[in-house]
Amino acid sequence: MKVYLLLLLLSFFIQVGNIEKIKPVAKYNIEVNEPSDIQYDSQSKSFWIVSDNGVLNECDLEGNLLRKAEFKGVDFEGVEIVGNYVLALDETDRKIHFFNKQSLKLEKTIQLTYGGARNKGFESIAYNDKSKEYYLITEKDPSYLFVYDENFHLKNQIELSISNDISSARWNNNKLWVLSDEDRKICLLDNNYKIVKTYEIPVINPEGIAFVNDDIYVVSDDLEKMYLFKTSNQ
Amino acid sequence: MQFYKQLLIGFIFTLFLNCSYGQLTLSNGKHSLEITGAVSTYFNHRFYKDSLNGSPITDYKKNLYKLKDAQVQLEGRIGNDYEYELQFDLANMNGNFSDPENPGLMDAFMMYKGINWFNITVGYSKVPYSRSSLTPFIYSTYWKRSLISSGEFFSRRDIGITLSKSLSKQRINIYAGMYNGLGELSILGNNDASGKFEYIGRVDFAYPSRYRYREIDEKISPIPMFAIGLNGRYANKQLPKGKSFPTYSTGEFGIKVVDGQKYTYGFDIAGQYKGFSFLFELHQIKAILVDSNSYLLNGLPYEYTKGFVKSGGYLCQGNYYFKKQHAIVGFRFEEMNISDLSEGTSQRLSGTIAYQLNSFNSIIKLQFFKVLTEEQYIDPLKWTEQVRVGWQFLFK
Repeated sequence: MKVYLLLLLLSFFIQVGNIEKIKPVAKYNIEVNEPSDIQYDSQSKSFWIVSDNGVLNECDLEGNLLRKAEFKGVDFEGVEIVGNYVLALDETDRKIHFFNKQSLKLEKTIQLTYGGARNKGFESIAYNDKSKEYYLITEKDPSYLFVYDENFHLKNQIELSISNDISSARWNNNKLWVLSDEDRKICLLDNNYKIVKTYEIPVINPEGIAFVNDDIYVVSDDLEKMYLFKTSNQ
Repeated sequence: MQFYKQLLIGFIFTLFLNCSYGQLTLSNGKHSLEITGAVSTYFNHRFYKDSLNGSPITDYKKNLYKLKDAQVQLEGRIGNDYEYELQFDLANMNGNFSDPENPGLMDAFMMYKGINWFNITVGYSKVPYSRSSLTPFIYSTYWKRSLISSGEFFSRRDIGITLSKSLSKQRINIYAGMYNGLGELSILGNNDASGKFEYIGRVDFAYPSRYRYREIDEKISPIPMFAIGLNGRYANKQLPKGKSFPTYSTGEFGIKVVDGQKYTYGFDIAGQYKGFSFLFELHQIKAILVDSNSYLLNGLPYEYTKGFVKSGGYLCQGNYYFKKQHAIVGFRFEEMNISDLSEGTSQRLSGTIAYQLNSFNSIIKLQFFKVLTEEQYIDPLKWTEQVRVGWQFLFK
């Protein structure tokens, strides 16, 4: 009985040890209305930020607008960079738009299907450049992780039960990271999509996450701000 | 004892119903249509008085199981410029228009967003007045809205046109509209004989970010958030001699639509922080009546009344969300003065406990009402307390 209680106590502390509260070390106003996701472009040293009103924007590292695409979608919720393309994920229409990174011209659009509620469709997109796989995640009720190959053939579908919702996902350092708006936390997942580490962040309505080396940038949709976090380890 | 048995059976009934979730969006790439719905049912028990005005109470029909909602909602969007919504409640499509809180037709409107500086909404929808009224009831832990915002003092829905504009990252929202002025009764097809309209405006301001029309701080806001709203409405509906308003349009207290001029104005302040949320809302009505014999004037001489009556009330509400326990507790105090020419006011206290099986998609709610005081001359009640317990299920 004593051993059991000790193990129980130990497991509690192990659980607590995997949750870390972090505070932003800097914040920036973003010149983008209702930013919904962000991705860092290591080539141009800039951010790609999409918005709820269906616009793709390029910003500098302090959130100042550099340029934006002419094409207007409906409700962009995810952004990713693959080769020479910037991909914008339209939640309402279940589409992925491929923009040429140099010209910002729309070159290709893929139609996906998902029958969930209009504002509970695909909320985030991440690309695994090793396996050439795309991870698309629905927001909630439930949160599904769809794994597509590079030709967008569905390879797997996994139900994630790790948070109330998922607002963004990012592939970084060979690991999948997800962001939860309602729980205000960043989760690092293992290969079985279980939580390895959780960071609690004091940000209202966090909708997008990006990595610049080991620094984490999170965008707040409601406040139209970008927060920089530094973690103790990744 | 009988009551507690009924309450237990009610609880068992709600707990053993099957849980499943449905949701559907159809899209052809440009036009997307979302189909959702809601079903809610509750058990109601009133604690009746022995008698009212000397007569024994013989009617206990409010002790019942009630199907509150059987809603279907069709919400569509075409490209970036058009949105529309059709929402109806099959539980309340019995042709009875006496309950503005639960109308059969809930929404039937189109919105055009193609103009840069404002959106236009036309059709039948909620009018931009009162935060409490504008908050979707499916996100409430209560089974009944406060009386002041339930549609008996002022309408909650109407047919007309609304212009709206959001500024400063949606922290400032401005609404202005023109409507038939008969409220929920407008869907019968005709205006009243005056042919006049009602004009409504609202401005709300939130800080530090936009503040959604929600009662509960489900996201456990890490910093304090506030919203303040100011709203007003005006109608001048002087009926030609011998004409009257459609049945039920004047509301339970005869103040909702009046033969004469009606000024209504109010404000609301809401806040939330770390799971706690509150709302305070106040409304004042001044009705300048054509009919000097109106019961609202309480038979008093013109020298005393000057031909007008004031009405109104306020509500204050507080809630706390226990996120880990999926539980919400709340209280509400409300006071109404149907007529300042009639002695007394009505005061009610409510408490609520809710347990979320799956957020507001599946929630068991319990509300307890207690009548503290009543405006006996104008609104005598047969009951002193009431309890409702039931289950709300959303197909979202």
